[in-house]
Amino acid sequence: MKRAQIEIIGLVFIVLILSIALLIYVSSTTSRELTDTGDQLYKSFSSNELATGFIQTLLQTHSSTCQATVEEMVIDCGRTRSSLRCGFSRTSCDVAEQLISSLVDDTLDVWGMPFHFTILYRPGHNITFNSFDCAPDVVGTSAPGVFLLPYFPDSGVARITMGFCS
Amino acid sequence: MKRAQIQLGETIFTVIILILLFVFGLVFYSGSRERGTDRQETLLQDLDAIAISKYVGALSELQCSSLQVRRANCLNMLKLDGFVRFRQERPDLFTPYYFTQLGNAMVRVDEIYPSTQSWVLYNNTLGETPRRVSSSLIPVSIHNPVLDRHSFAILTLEQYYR
Repeated sequence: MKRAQIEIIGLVFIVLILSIALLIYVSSTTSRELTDTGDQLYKSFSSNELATGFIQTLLQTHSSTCQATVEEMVIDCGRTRSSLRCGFSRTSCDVAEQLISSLVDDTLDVWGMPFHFTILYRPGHNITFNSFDCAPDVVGTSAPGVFLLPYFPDSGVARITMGFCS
Repeated sequence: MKRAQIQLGETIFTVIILILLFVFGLVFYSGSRERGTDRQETLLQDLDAIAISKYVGALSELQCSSLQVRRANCLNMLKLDGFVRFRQERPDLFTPYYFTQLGNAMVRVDEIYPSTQSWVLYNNTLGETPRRVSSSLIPVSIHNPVLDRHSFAILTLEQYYR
């Protein structure tokens, strides 16, 4: 074999090794990106499950003070003519706010989960709870769980949103 | 040293370097693949924990129903009491059936408001220390059909892996 032929074979060999190394690097990066996407999807899915489950359960919960569910209290609070009386001149708004605050303290705060929770009764009238400065506009906040409660037969809806920050 | 011997030495040296490069590449690649596989395994186990806790929350032997219509995110308090009693009194029937559905896990419901009460629905932990514990927390409503009241509770599922 001539010297030139041997050098060409060596060159081909080096190119082959570099190609394999590049292939391994690309495959490893792609696999990492896929796992990252899976992680994000899982976080988004589990946050949304927790948010919707939390709101759904919260709305069904009976208050021992008001003899009404949170859903009934929120609707009563948002309507122009409040009809629920919760003792000691407390309104349904006060009792609902206190109950939500206590449930959030006993669950999400204990678990150390950064969250934001808002009830928008009507423009300019809302209550918000959050932890670790988590807000809907913070980067990394999951898509929130949203519930709408109509004030039927009155007009308008209460909008309840809850989301988590990563 | 003769010229041929020098050339042979060069060839052997090159082959050794190439083999070393190949082995390093293989070790790096397999390590990276292993880390990726571990992360995917963790992800699947966490998803499995959510699926199982959803399954527990939807068991007809626990779920609230009204006129044969089931209610999501709601467990009947009397059914919970009955379920726990059945688990304690007939482990010979309970454990084999639910093991096929839940595996090595612990399922507990903790009432948070208005009172505090707990029901351990299933407890089949591994004898040895588990390699990993995957947990899931789901808020559920507990309905007391006698008083027609709903309370706020958390369904906790811990799944153990060898």
